[in-house]
Amino acid sequence: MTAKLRSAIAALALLGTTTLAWAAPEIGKPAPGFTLTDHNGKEVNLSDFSGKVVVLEWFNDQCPFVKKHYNTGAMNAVAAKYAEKGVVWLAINSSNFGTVEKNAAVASKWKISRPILDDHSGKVGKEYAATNTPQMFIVDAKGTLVYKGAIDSVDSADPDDISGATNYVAKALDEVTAGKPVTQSETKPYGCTVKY
Amino acid sequence: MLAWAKRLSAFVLLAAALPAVAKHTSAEVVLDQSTVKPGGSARVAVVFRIDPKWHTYWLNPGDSGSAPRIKWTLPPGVTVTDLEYPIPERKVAEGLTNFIYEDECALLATLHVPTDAKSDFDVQAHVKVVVCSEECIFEEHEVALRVPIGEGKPTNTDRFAAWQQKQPKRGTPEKTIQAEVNGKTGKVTAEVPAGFTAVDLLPPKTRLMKFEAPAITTGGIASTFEVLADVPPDFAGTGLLVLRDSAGRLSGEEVQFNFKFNHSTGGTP
Repeated sequence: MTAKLRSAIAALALLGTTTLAWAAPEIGKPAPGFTLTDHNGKEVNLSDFSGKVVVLEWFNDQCPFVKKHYNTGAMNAVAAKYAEKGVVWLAINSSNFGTVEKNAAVASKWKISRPILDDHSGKVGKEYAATNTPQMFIVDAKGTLVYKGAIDSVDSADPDDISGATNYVAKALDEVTAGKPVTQSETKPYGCTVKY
Repeated sequence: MLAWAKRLSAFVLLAAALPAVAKHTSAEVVLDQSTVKPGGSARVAVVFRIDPKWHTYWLNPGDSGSAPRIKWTLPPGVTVTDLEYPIPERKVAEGLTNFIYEDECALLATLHVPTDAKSDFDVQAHVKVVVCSEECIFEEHEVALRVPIGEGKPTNTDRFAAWQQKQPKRGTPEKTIQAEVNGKTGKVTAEVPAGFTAVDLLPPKTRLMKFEAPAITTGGIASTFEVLADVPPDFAGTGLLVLRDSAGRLSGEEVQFNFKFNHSTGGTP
């Protein structure tokens, strides 16, 4: 058990709360596999995409920080840009109130052509220790986790703040698709909490 | 018109006048002078009332949320300083930490009036706030403030005194504390002045480090943190030391965290 985990558990014991001590997936190690149902009712397995770079985007359409990226079209634009380079981009909705039908409605509303995966049990979210929406993970073609954290550098729900922010995911994808190591492999995510 | 039709049309008018969704915050902008002298300045407060069971956030919101922001529309020559955020409360739930405000939150600033100001003018505050309970909502308010020009006369004195008391002290220069970084972990220690006990040490907002909750040490308070990846060598940030005096009163001091990197953790060339 890491020192960090020990002190986190000790602090929580003092507070008298119970929580899941999630072991986060590590940069440089294999990304946890999963099988989830997309908004079209199709089963999607992470291993379907081996040999491709995959972006995982923790998603909740109710969250103002997610709305910021979709009402402006910003998230779709980034995903489309890297789709041209063969990057697969999956949205994962771990909200306990999520359903395949609701995900389909959002895909239609926000013109999302990428799969939105239903994880309303929260199982995959917890395996990835996903704490926020939006929260991003990048898996390289060998299945190794190469980035985890925030979408960009400005933690606001204000659409005006997107253009001035550094998009950490775009930066990492430029490096990965060019065969270079990712320089900023981890950042602290921001947004809403995942509604397990 | 028939009585029932009158009642129906009255109801329809009323329904149209009601807001579609009730907000969980309200905002007002208040000045500490009823008239301001040309060339003078006044303290301005942007005051949020927050619904019970809802909260908004400090500059560093913690693990979720974000701080309220104001965009001012000012006439030429009028300036407003950066907003001063009051001391927040640390809230821990399900392993996640936030720095929050409940009930009321007053952001303070100083408004400067040009020497050639001859008549009353308006300033506009476009307020953007994320307010959360079980869910988060992004709310906006447009608030106008009339600034009357005259001999300079104080008002709202008690309100401003109460709001100022909730603010941390800001030194010039700012108090600094050293954070030592070795590899991927670091530790920052703040000394506590005599006559005070340490209550909390709130870290600066950054996407590049994760801070643990602080621990009281002999004569101080310390926090360990994890460095996530590449941090520029000149990285610094403003945090908050929260203290309690011998009378039990809460106070705070803004502190600049200066990071000293050993074994060249920091520095992208």
